[in-house]
Amino acid sequence: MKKSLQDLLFHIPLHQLTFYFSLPKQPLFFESVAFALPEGKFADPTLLIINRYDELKKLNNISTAHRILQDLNLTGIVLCLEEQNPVEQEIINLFRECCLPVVQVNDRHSLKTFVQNDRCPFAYGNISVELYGFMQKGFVNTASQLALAFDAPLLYLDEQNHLMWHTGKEDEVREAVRWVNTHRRVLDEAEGPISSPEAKAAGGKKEFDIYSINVAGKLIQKLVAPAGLSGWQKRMLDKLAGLTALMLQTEGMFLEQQQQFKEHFIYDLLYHKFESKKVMVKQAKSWGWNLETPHHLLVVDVILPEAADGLQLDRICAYLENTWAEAGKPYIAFPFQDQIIVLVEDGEKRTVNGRKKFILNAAAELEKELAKQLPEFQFQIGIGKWYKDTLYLNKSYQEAKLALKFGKLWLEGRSIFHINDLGVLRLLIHVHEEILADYCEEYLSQLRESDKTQGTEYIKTLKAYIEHRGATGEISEALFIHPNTLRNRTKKIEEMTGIDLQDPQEFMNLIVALKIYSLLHHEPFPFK
Amino acid sequence: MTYQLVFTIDFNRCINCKTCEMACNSYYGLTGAHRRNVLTFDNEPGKPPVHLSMSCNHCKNPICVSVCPENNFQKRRDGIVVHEANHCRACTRCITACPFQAPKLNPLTNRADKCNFCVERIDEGLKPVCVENCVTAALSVMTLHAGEPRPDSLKHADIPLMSYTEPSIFLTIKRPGKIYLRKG
Repeated sequence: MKKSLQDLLFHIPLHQLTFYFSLPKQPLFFESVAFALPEGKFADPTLLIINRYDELKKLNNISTAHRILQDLNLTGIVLCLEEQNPVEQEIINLFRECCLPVVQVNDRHSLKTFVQNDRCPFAYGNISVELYGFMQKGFVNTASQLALAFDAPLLYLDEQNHLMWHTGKEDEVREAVRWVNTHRRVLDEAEGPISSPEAKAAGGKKEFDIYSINVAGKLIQKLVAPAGLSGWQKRMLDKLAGLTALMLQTEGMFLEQQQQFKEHFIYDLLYHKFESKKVMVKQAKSWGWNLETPHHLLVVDVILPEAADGLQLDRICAYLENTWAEAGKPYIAFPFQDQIIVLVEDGEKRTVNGRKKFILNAAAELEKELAKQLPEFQFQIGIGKWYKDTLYLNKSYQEAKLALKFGKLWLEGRSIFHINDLGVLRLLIHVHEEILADYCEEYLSQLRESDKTQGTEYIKTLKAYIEHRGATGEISEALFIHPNTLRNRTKKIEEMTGIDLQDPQEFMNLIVALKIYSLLHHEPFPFK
Repeated sequence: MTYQLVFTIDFNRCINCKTCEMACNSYYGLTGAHRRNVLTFDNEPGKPPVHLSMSCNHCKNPICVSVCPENNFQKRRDGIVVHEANHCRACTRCITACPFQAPKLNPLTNRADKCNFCVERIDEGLKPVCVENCVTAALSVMTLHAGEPRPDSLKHADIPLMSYTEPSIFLTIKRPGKIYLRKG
């Protein structure tokens, strides 16, 4: 039974094939298979399979090589040995010159393909094995091998038809690139759910074929190869395109799973207490995060300008991580629920004050970096407490969010809020609004009434008084009033509230009343 | 968060039968401290009272998490806030801090105790026992996926903290007219 060598090669997984030089386009037929070098000549067209080292030794003998080349019934040689490039280069060069095809097959099981007569040796059941081998060998190695076997250039285009990779002789590649550049429309039309090696250049001379790499209909990339390839070559390229699509799909699914795993880990980190620190640290290492050492946790709110369409927090995080990596800072940034979470490593031994200063400086640097990258946006940062044990990052997260939420209301002119800055106000948020309003009214009702009915600015004056810590010059400058007017106003305030502004105890009560006023009326409070 | 399970309460349907409360007590063998309470508000004269079946609201930002010194509160991926009572020292911080008084001191165990959305039933694909037993379907469960607008019921209530915690509860306010209480 006559069999074509090239057609049978199609049934062998691509990653197992090694070509030493190009194969003829025309099918090479054989009727018998021999596993040993003949003493004389083969009686009929025969494929010689070398799978033993003693036979290889004979083949590597130059006189034997010359002898078998005289045999017109020798169709080709298939090498199947563990060693790569087992044949002497001199012998290979001789076979190339005499156009005697030599192919190496890595797996002995694949030799059955050449021996069996009755059925197609390759089944779809082996597709997973083929895909695994292909992924191990990689697209570039496999495609380079095919380009060598076909003696043809091969181009890989991305979904926008940009050249991603190429192989082949320089002038042939240049010609192929020129064709791609001048046939953009043809390439665009070639996009479709079905792999179409028969795609033809519309209205022009057909010079190259397009092989679609269709990844689940979501992503279509392309292979471009000369149009004049023979049937077996086209089938091999189509197989390469299919395997590439499967590889991309598998890798995409893997990445998707990794992303989902990361999202779950982040959720657990921020909302959950891990049962074991060991497990948490091990999982965190998947992304190169070292959660063995303590971290500060920062929550960044990105305030978009009105005209902005949206923001890709992922890109900001990637930018931040690159910047930190260059600066050698072991910080972590990731988006979570429309905010950016930043983890700042701080395992140093510091005083409480030193630690707070450190994180405030880090937050200020972060804000500066973000403002530099995105000048049209505003950023506000909440900082939670530092815990020695990273298992408590979930608490720190809640504290950072609390600081951000109420810091915006109470701390005017600031964009960085540490949970400790909220102080006594952390208690006030638990109190019923009516009780808070009553307390506030007790101190401020008369001042507010006067401001409302007579246009005085007692509340504003009081806020400035607190902001500038009673420094008359600074307050009058800030309010654009004469110092005597200020003195007169403060005297009036003292009369109306019954509070001596010089008494620290009473003055503190007034500050609290004003803070509550800001909270209830959602007005930022000037407090530094 | 993958999604958030939310209690929904329809004021039009609640008849103050307290079956939800009793079902919960019976299921968990609670005596003395209830995880779920039906509160009655009779604020507007001449109008029928409103009954609100309340338990833990499984807030987006649970304050119990930040106040517990033992870090015993956790929010699961389905948004349910659970309390690990094993390490509870009954400091009662969570009880005081929660604006909805969801955690309570269980006199039998002398540990904080709160609604856990019947997590073991949820994991088996069942409804919480209070929802299962509500005869008028006033109490039910809704699933809120990421990106969907969160309910703002109770967000603007009387305690400033509530605007921070973002309770996961959806209230259907009372409408005038006849209400048919057939279970849906």
